[in-house]
Amino acid sequence: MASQEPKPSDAELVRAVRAGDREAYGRLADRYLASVYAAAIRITCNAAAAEDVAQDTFLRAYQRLDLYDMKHPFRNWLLKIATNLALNQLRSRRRERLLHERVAADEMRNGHSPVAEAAPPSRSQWQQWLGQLDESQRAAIVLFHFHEMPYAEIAQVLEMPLNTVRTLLHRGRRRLREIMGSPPMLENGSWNVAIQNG
Amino acid sequence: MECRDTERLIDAYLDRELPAETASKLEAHLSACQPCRRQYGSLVGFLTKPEPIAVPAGLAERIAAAIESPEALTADRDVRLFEAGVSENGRHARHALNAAGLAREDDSAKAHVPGWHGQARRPKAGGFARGADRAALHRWLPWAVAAAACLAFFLIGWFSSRVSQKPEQQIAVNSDTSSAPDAPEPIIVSPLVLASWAQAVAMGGPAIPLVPVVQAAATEAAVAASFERPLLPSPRQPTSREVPPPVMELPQELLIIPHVSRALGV
Repeated sequence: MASQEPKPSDAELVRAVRAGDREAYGRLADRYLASVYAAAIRITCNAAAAEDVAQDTFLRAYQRLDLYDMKHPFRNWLLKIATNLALNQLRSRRRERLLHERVAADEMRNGHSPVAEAAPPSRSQWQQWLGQLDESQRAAIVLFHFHEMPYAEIAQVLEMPLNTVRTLLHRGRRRLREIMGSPPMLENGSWNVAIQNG
Repeated sequence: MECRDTERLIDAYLDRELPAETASKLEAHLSACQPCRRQYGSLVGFLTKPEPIAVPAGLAERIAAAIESPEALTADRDVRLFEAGVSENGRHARHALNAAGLAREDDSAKAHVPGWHGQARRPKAGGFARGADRAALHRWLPWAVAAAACLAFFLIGWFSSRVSQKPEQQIAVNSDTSSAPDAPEPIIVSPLVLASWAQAVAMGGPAIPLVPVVQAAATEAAVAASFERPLLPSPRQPTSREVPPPVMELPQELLIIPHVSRALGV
């Protein structure tokens, strides 16, 4: 009977990567890719953006592995990077959307018909729910409920006092309850009155 | 447990701060009480039993490729965001990736990405992703600017040294004329001082310490050479009885290299 090799710990793999073993980093990435991608897609609510965040997270972690403090779990370090990148992604998307809307408005004013946009990808129900929260509320809820990160680490990631994190969580949950009890929202942000009426 | 207890405890339950026994009672109540389930069931289910999320196929390979070749990441990302309707930058990036043979639609390119343990895809010769061009530009731009500044200030120094040799500004080093009371006073300003000063003003200080030093040596050498050369003939040729023009000495106090040499004890 072939003896099963014990799974190396994160710390052992990190030490191996620091010693130049790139394959060890592949094993770390395989181990945490699902967590990182799940956090990214829940915060960005967009699959393409989440893929970018996951790619950037692993690339940045690889390039800055020397900065990782082995006293903390490697998974939480990755989630910190992913959350910051996802929040940055949301901010830049917001800026880009505003710019796009301004250009479309100018084109309409000048008599041009706006360029037809690609239809946005369909969103699942949880994406619609989370998508209506503030970015910080969403990040706090995702890290606390879906990735079981403690308050103190969430406070570090979001660079906020611990009590603010608690408040974000409570307000976010209250908002979620309101959203879940409301009629579904359409992609363009308007309420689906037709469904509600009948 | 009653319904009002649920309302009171639900936040603590979701914060995972309830004792296990109280949490089980709350869960039992939620599953038995329809009004409470209607009010809190969706939220509790969503937060405590989240929908599993599948990792997209090929993401691990793309991450491996990004680690092998981070330059290709930007263009690849632009294409994907464009396809998803998130970004407009992807049109150009798609062309760049096609040119580089890295387009995601190209299955033959994918075949070169066996995953973490193999050789990741690399750009073909002759073409490169837009992100790579941008990265190379960012890498070399500061050096190009520094070299251009160095050249410009050297030329300023050289030009000012040439100006000091113009016949009308030339010091007539003739025993007769130099002793004349109306002879112009020689004004010697090291071009180094002028150029270094201009550089300091323009760049907020010398960017690279080596630049002014090299520049100093070059400009001072130019000035020294101009003094060692026989000066242009004065309008009146000296007669054979006149004393030949003496070689002027450089005013050492205006130059920097002697000070540096003294400071270094050379």
